[in-house]
Formats: sequence, structure tokens, C-alpha cells
Amino acid sequence: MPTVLVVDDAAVDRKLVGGLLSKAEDLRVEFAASGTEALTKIEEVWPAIVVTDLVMPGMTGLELVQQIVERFPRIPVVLMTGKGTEETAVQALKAGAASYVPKTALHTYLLETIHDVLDLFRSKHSHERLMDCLTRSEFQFRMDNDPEMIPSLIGYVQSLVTSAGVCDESSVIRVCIALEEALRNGMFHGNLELTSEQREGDAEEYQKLVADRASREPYASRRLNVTVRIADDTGTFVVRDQGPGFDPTKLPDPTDPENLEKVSGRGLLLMRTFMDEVSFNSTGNQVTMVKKCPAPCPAGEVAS
Amino acid sequence: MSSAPGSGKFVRIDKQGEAVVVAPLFTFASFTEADLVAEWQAVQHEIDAPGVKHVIVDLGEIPYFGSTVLEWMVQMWKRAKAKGGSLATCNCSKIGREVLHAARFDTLWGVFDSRDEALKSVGQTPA
Repeated sequence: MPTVLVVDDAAVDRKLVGGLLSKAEDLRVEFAASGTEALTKIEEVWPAIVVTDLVMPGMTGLELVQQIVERFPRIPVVLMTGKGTEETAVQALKAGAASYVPKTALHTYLLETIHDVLDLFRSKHSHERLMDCLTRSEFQFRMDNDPEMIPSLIGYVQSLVTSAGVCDESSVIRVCIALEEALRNGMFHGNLELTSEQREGDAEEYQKLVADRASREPYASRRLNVTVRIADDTGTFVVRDQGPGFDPTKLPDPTDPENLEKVSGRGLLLMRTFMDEVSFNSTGNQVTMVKKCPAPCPAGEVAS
Repeated sequence: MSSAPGSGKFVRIDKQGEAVVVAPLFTFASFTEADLVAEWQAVQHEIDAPGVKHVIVDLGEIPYFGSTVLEWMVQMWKRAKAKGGSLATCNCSKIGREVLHAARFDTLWGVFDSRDEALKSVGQTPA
């Protein structure tokens, strides 16, 4: 039976909320009179959900939300908002609170909201647990030279790597920055054979050139093959174009003071910055990038 | 005096004295370069306008960015430099700072925590 931890400094309000929740036979209720007590209680009773007042002496409801989101990310928090706390409630929702119920409408909405949030988190938690069990997966994409596919693929990989828990959120973003650069390189410089000089000219003309080459042979039939492989704590990303390839050792160093004013040429630099390993095949038309994340992801740290 | 000469889907442009404040609003999962062309041209137009010397790039709306934003920034910097001005950045995320550092742009441009600080760095009075 899920436990609801009710946090409110006012005894009368704890009693009121306790009374409302006692109507639900499928919930157990625990109480805390402050944010500090709530954090201690969480470690004792592992509630499925926390319902908290926003205005409390000592640790505020907003601070409590921030602490719970950081330390117990699998426990949702529902806010009880009063008149004049709207601004704080917005901040708390931005900080990660799951929902809110106005104090004037607790009778009508509190139980319903708690059940809705619990259902949502149960489903999310179940998915996260399943992903924790994932040991290996591989996806292969064969893309034509449509730039619109790049954001779609990045978005997909972002959700895939996030849900697989390969690495933490900021590392996922670093992976996506590097992958985007690799996809752009493969599509524009590899398959469409567009040069940095062309890119540095008029933006509208460059887009016309992209569209023209994407519809003209030999460029049009070239494909971009993308492999995303996830195994335990490692993500491997392979991007292979069907262009003539290039010699990466011949690329100018974009961090050389002489090259800092050049508009383009920083894709490979960002790939090397944000991936642990970056290597090219002998013909220079395939890049393999590896991201290792040995630390467990936050979602895997907290016991259910 | 501050004014708002333009706000599009992918970029917001404000003016502050001799500075144009450009705030990209796009991340990699939300745009294609073709989408950006018209708004990029509007940005260039604002920088080239008489009385404008400096560019402030407010990165507070985008938690991360890659080479596309860097390319924009280099082009804006070159335009400002040609008019005797400079470029400064503000409100950059941690990952954004990593990107600027990797490209060594943090050695060329001021990286400030707030728009006001960035404006002051180019001699403009915040609103």
C-alpha cells in the first residue's frame, strides 16, 4: 500500500489532510511538521508521494521540493497552495514538483491528484526499472540527405540514451551535441560534398545549394548510415556517409589563433570535446564516437 | 534606451544603445538551418544598422548549443568588429561554457553571468 507523507507545520491542516486521505483505503498516511522532519521521515518510511505546504518556518516548501528532487528523484511531490503563494508554486513546479492543489479545493481535488500522480510515476518508474535491466541495444538508421531528419534523429537518440540510463542528463546533452556535429559533417560535407568556404557565404544561397545537391546525382542517392549501440555503461555512435571521405589530420586546428575568425570548422572539435573516443576509418567517411559513463545514473541510485 | 526591433520563432532581438542583444531560442531538436535563414538575415540587418556597434549574445534561453550557434556568433563578431565594436555573451549554461571554452572563444569574448554585466562591458547602460 503506497504511503503518502503529508508535510505541514500547522497541526490543524495536517489533521484536515489526514482526514481527507483516510477516506482512501489504498493509501497509508504519515506526517511531518517541517521540511527537515520530512527528509528524515522519507528515509524511514519511503513514501510513494509527498504532499507539502509551501509556507513553513525553517525549510520552505520550495526548498523541500528542491531537496526531494535532488535526493529522491523517484518520489513525486504535490504542493498545497494558498492565497499569495502562486509565485512560489510556479518556482516549485519548475523545480520539479509534480502537481499542486489549492488549499481551498483540497476536498475536491487532493485524492484525485494523488492518484493521478501515483499512476503516472508508477508507469514512469516501471519503464525506468525496465531500462535499468537493459544490457544491450542497437539501432540502425539509413537516412537520405534531408536536413529535417537531423533534429528528429537527435531527439530520438536523446530520449533513447536518457531512458536507457547510460549517462546523466548533462552527458546526454554532450552526446547529442557531438552526434549532431557528426550528422552534419556526414550529410553536408560527406554526401553533398559542400565545403566550409561555401558554407561561409550567403546563408540563403547555401541552403539553395543544399537543396540542389540533395536532388542531383551523384549526391542524391547517397545515404547516411547511423548506428547507435548501447551496452551497459557505453554508448557507441557510428556515422557513415557515402561521399569520397577526407583526411581528418589535414583539417586546420580551429583553436589556432590564426583560425579563430573562421566561421566554420568546429564540428570535429566539439565531437572530440564531448565524446571519450573519436576515430575515423581509413577513407575518412565513417566516424565512430564512444561515450563511457561509468558512474551510475541518478535514476538507478534510488531504491524503489 | 531599450527597444524590441524583432522577435521571431528562433531568435529574439533587442536594442540597447549601441548594442544589439541577440537571444537564440533554438536547440538542436527544434530546427533545421533552412528555418533559420530569414531570422539570421534579420539579425544581420540589425547589426548593420547605423548607430549599432556591439553585439550581446544572450544564451539564457538555450541550455546547450553546437557549431551552428558558434558560426552565428563568429559572423556577428566579425560584423561588430568591422564597425569598431565587440561581442560579449551572457547567461551561458555550464555546457554552453564548455562549448565556448573548447572553441577558445572565452579568450576572445567576454562571458558574463547577466545581460547587464555584458552591456556594461561594451560601455552601454542597462535599461
